[in-house]
Amino acid sequence: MSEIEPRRSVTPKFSVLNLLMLTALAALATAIFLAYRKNQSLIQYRDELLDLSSRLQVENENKLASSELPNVASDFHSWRVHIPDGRGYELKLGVGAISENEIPPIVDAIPISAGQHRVTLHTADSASEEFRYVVYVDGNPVIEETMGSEWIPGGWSSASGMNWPRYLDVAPTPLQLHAQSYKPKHRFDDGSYFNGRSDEYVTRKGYRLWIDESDRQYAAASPFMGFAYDPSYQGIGLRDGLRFKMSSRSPYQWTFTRPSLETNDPLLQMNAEFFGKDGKILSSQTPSFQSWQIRNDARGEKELKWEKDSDQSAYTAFLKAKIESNETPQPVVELRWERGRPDEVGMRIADTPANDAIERSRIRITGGIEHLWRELRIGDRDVTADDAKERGNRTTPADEVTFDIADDPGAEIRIQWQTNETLPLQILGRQRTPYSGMSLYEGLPVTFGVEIPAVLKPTMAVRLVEHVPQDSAQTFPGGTVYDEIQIDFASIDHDWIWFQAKAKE
Amino acid sequence: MKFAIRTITAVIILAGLVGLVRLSNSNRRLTDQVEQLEAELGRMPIDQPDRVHLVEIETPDVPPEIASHLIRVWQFRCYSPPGYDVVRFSGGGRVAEKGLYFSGGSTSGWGTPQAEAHHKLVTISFQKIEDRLEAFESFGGSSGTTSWGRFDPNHFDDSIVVQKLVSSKQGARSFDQQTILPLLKLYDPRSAEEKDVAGETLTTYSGGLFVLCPKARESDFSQLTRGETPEDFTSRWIATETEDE
Repeated sequence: MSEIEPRRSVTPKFSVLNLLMLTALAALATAIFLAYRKNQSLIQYRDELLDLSSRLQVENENKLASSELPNVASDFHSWRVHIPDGRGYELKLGVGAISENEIPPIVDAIPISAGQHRVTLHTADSASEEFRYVVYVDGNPVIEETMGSEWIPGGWSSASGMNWPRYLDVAPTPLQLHAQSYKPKHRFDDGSYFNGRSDEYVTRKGYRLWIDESDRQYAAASPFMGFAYDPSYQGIGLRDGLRFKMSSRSPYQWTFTRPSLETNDPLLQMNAEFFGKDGKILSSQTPSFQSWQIRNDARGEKELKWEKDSDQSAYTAFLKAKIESNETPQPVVELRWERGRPDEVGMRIADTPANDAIERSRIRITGGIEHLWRELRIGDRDVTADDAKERGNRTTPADEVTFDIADDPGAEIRIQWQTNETLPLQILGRQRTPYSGMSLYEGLPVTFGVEIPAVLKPTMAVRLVEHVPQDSAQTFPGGTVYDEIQIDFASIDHDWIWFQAKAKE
Repeated sequence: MKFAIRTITAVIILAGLVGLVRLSNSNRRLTDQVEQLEAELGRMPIDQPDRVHLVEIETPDVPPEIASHLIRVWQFRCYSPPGYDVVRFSGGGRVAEKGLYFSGGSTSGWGTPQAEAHHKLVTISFQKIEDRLEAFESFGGSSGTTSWGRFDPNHFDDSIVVQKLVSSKQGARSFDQQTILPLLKLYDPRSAEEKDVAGETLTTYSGGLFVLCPKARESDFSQLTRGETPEDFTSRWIATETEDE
């Protein structure tokens, strides 16, 4: 016997009510969709208009806030600001030495009451307007400072914005309204255009306008850079002086830059060679060499970590060779920067047991072709590259000449070299065709130097180049150049050798 | 079962209704805000999103301490359609009553075209700095100044002729992206001088021009400023004061 199962309808019944509900659902969904789309486009449009109207949106009443008004003239900037209740705030104008790390001296500070205000800055920043800065609050002039027409002799070529120094980690955070740093205009004899390039850590003239707690003081900026908050790719050393930079292209080479000479290009380039007492050598040709590591101590154990201390007048760093095998000397070289020696960097074989195996070292300072080095002075002796070519002796390769420097009197032997060209080489490269294919140094003219204690028994050699690198048939239009300066010295006493690169007088 | 489905549907409809009411309220609030902002920044419905829209802002919001230094200021709102590639040109020297003839000192600037449509402010202002007239022009974030060396700032009075592409009276206008937009031309009618330009005699005046020129028309534009006629040129290339192009 089989039971008959009741039949169930599989398809839902379409009652009028169902149909109504479905229609209502569809209509509602469409309405919501349309309203939502309109909402989104209205929000976008309103936000765009709000941006244009530069209304001040205060999200947190207890925080400083600002909104810049659209510029209507090149020499005026205006902001709406919100000043929180409860703390004494001041509007401060600093004019003078400025960099990304530096607050210029405050020329005036005036109290600004809680609530909303309009702050306007007028920058009459040309020599004929005598570099006059006026600050208005709600339409009334409250600060006026005139620096005088000679404030930036020769004028400026461009101005760039500056961020608030990132190491100044104070709470509540000050509100910077505006900051500019002027790049000075360089004029040369023939009036050609000089195109300088440098970074924002170089000290220049400029101004900052900001709102801050009235009693807050800032210590003077450190002349050094290489602290944890400084970007490591800008180098370590002196902000306005020589900075050590790692080069990924030629890892063996030591490179120093000096952006205050209007270029970020390598300025001082060195290749060192170390001769062990056992006859083993470390040079750029050593296959097991991997890299130079910047360390904090002579043993080379810790990573570089400079602590900011405004009283500290010198900082050191150690370069340790990372080498795969034990077959070569493993030197540690110490670098030193001093506040009182802005044009120099000191270098020595560090006082550490690893260096005991080293007998002599040689520093090869390269790049003479880019710099067109032609003038050399050893103590009081002047030797041009053409003179040196004449003196070339037969014991060394034809293009290498040695100089006796140890007989120079005095405890320090001073050597200086530079180009004989008077115009910046970038202008020369643009003007004279034999140089135009060469990548000449782009910065301001430089004088190089080294100061080495006689106790290190130094010897010196130079490499000369007569012909343009791209064309061996063509000699340099201005005569032979020193391509390389080599200094050899004994590894005794760990005395400092000072290398110098400064603007040519 | 049937009851459950109906209940759920009813709940959905109810929730949907609440959402719709909320959205409508929000839209009403937004519309109010937008209307308020448009009262300041000019009313400009964007009906054809691929065209350039311009409207004059009747009373630019200029703080009085700045306004007291300025001789005149004009401000416009510009809707840039996606990919609008334009060069801003500003020059002071000599101009003609009609056309784009110009000779003198000028600056131009441009940026990379943006993939999304956006609104920008265009500001043109004049200032007297030490007996010379200085023109400031900004288009969004990019700005420049030009010295109108030959224009006597004391002549910058009510008698100068001002030709505006859009005016607050007329309201917003829209243009094809490929049209050259002479935003503003100013000249001193007292300074008429006959000049031989491209083989014809042209009456020129001391004054200047502010133009938004499509990047693709840049070389045509520089021909037009010299008084020459580019190949295939039609008058539709240049927007005129009255009608939409």
